[in-house]
Amino acid sequence: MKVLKRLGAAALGAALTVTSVFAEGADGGALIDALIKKGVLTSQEGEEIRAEMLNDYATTPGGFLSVGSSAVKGLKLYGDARVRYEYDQQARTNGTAQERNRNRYRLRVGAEYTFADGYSANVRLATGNKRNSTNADGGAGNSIYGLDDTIYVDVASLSAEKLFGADWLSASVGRILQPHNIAMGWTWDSDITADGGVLKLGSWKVADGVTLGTTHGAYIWTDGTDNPFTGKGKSDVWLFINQLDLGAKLGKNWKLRFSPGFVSAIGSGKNNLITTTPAVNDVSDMNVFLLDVALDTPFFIEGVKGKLYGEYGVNLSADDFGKRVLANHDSGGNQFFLLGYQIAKGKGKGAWTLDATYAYYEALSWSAALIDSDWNGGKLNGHGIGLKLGYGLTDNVTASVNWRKSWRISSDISSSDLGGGTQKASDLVQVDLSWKF
Amino acid sequence: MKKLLLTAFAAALTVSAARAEKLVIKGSDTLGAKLVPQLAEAFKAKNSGVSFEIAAEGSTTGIAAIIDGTADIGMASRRAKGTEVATAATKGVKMSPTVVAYDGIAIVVNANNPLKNLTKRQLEQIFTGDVTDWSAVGGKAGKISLYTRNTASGTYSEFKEMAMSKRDYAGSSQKLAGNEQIVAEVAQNPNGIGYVGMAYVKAKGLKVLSVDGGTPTKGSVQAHNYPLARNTYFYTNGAPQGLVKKFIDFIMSADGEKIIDQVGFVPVK
Repeated sequence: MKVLKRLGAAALGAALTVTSVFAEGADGGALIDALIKKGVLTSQEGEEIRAEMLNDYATTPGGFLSVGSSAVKGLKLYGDARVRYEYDQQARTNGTAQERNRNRYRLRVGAEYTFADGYSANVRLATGNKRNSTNADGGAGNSIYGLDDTIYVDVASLSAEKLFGADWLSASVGRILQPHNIAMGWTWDSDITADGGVLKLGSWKVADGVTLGTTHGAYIWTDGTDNPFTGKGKSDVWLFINQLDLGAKLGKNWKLRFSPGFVSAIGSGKNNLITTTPAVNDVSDMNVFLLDVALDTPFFIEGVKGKLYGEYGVNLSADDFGKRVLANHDSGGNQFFLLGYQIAKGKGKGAWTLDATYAYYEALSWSAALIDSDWNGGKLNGHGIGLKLGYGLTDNVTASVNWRKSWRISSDISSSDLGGGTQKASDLVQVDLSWKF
Repeated sequence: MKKLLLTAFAAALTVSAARAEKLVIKGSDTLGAKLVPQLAEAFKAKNSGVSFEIAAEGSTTGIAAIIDGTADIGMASRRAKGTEVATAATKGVKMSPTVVAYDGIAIVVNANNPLKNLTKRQLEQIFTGDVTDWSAVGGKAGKISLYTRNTASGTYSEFKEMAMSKRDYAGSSQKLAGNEQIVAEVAQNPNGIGYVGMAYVKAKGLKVLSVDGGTPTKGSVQAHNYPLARNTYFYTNGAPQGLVKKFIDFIMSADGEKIIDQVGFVPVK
């Protein structure tokens, strides 16, 4: 009888655990009280069930709903909201300037399910433009937060850790967050997610303090009608990114990350190979050798961490690309690099970061579709600086100011997509208030 | 000879370690002012070398002491709140309750007060300040003087939950540190009303009112029939172990229950 009673109590506990997730602090009070009064449970058993449920509730992370008896192990809700004031100015070759003041917002809400150990699904909705996740635009200065913004799915993926039981193998497919070591917010617009799949191998310990891993991504870049590289493609284009990731601890406060890689775009049309004459289906214009390096360094102020980072890329197909897309068949330059230093202190409330970057992108070095839209008017053929200061107002709310200034590199580029046209210089100031939940 | 000395030295160390056993108990005044000291004395009589440090400053302080690891046992006359359990969890502490005794919150008035019973609704009206004169609840005209426990008290929050629909106490209420202070004040004030644990009602000049017709007796509390019946708890970090378990086992034994009964609480069994 005692065993039956305990089983009943356990079942009640399990049932109430599922129920309790929907009400903060729920302890199934009335039902337990009734069962105690009826003599089904002792006071101690009732208290143990209540305490267990409260403990279960308390030990699930914020927004994490535990439904242990279900096939679904966990659901994590997350997201962020950002409001932004933005001023940008583009100086023209004729001496005029175009100015813009904008109020912008972005809201992203996501849910991550864990089905079983290591298997999960992630879905995130975001405000903005469905094609490339650029921010919602509240209007060109006058309107406050326009009501016609679209909401779209910017992440929808399935992921597996320890694929086939191998703890060194993981994979994600679907619309995923960009998983490579490429300068986010510069070379890769941080709003752009990738459609396709990624396979990660490693990391393996190859020597004392040294690890090695590789990342292999294949993404559908266009669906055959809107080649983002040339703006003219009509066949499906795949973007392949393969990268090596070497990490080394060099001392107490020194850590190096060295990531060479190769980025190539390959179309499925018949004319996808390099040709000497312009053709709308040609897309093999991007074969970029990439090198990312980051070095964590000590800083002379106690508690402040420093990081020196750099990225270099060279497009080996730039000559053919230039011949095809630029009217004067000029190469337009095939290299890009950025160099920056970041200092940061703490996490959460009172934490701050200061980031200074110099960037240089020649016209044919990279894709204008991938480069950050807030840099140089979203165009290549520019060099300049960026300064960003962030401060944690609370553990979840951050204020930041971002300033970028850039100048045209070459005045002899015929394509405005690639940084030609009348744009001579660009200024940008963004003031953000961001909340993560 | 050398071995013998070493053995003797080790034995001496063992004895002194055993002598150093100490239980730190903090929390509820309801439990800590009378019951737990008497239980501790009886336990010490059977377990030489054990000492106790007891601080009775309210249930909240007992739960906080378990969370920050400054007590072995947290006495509480209320359940740990969800926020307290969550705070504990963030520090790796698992709040585990043991019901050590039952109690009834007794409504006490001055012995000269003609009233015999109040409904829960009337209690809510009185303690929230909706009613300020005894005549409004069938008593002799006179301004009601409210005596409550302070905010660290488990009885303070339990009463609010059980009798006041979780509403706030009247601003005019006087907050006192312990049950005995409430008893003393009410016994002297003909217009006074307060609440105390059952163990504190045997005082001169005091009268216990029934609530919705129920009086706090051993039988009504044990059967959970008295409207203001409640559990009292020992909170520990995880299941009780070692000396803590031994002490709790003693409380649950016939000897322990006898003391619980004598002090005025109601044994669990």
